[in-house]
Amino acid sequence: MSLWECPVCHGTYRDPQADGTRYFHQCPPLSTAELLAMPAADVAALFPELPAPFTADDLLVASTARSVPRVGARNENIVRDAPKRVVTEGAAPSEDDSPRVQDQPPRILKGP
Amino acid sequence: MDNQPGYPLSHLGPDDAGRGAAIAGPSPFLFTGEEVLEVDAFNSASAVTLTISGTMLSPTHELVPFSFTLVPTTNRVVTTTRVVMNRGWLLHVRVIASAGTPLLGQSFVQLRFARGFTSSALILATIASGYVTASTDLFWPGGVMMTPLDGAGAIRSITAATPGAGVDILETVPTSARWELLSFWAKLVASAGVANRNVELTLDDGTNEYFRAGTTTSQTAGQTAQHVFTQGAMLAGADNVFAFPSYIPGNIRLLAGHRIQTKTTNIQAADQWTAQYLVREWIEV
Repeated sequence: MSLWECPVCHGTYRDPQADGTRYFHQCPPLSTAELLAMPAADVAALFPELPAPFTADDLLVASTARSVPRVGARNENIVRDAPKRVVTEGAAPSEDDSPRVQDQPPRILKGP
Repeated sequence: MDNQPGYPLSHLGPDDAGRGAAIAGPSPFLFTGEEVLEVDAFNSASAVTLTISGTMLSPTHELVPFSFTLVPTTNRVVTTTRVVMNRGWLLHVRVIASAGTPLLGQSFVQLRFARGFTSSALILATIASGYVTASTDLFWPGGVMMTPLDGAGAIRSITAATPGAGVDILETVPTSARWELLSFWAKLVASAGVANRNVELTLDDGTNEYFRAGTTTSQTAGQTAQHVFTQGAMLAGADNVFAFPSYIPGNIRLLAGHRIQTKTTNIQAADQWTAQYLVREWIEV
């Protein structure tokens, strides 16, 4: 039941979970707090519909209507249409072979 | 064809071609050396080993037991094994989780009758399909053929990823899973930043939002509150100081890739979310 940290969004999660099942992390979109902390030019590029200059309320409305994924967002979910893998009886298949959505930086082990 | 076990033949009577009729053996599944028993397993529980066992009737009318194992992955990706069976008829077969403790709804197995051993093997029939546990087996003959979406599903209590400070929660239905969201408990520790935080829970298909509901009370600076979304809940007229209730649709089904998110208006940079939620899960393939 290791605790991992995502190097992109810095969220932490248990994998496997307490019941032994696997957990597949996906980075959340940028929050309004993160957007407000970004340079205005970067925010304007993400939300071209914002007036120039925009206020915090303008950004709040825009971000409520549409969420923006963070750059390099991590998604650990499996690609579903992978070809069937056949294993010999009794062998334990390697789960590292499972295809992923995208190549991404490795997660950080925080503890047991 | 020379080494095939013989079917009893009988002539039904004179006809213009003098043809005989074949009477089937004791089982519809005859293994001649060119057929395999294929086992496809879809599993989400940890440390599971499946044991497949049964009995064949050989061409010399001997009962030949067999048993082998399959260790499936834990990410619901199909794990397949093809076993060349002894020549003869399959009389009965059984699959059970001989290691691990999967709940009903976590280990789905299909037994197939196929011709060929490679990836080009031709599936000729499905012998049995259904969920197995350490106590509930899949068996033929006599068992009921199930699809992965049949049954009560497995109840799971999931600890959401703790997002970074100032970030909302995002949970995604994993690949090859179908969820029914039963409840979503989320705690927001509001920082000292002065603002009225208004919390909503949203459901989307990965792109398009199709549900949103909020709690009725704003959360203020320095306050720690639990926002609780459950099926069938009604918005309380006066929220408890510590728990803000709201609702999620009854019997709501979420497909793989669908997302559950909190949307916090006026979230501050040092606010911190945690969450725990309950789902009913089926394997969907």
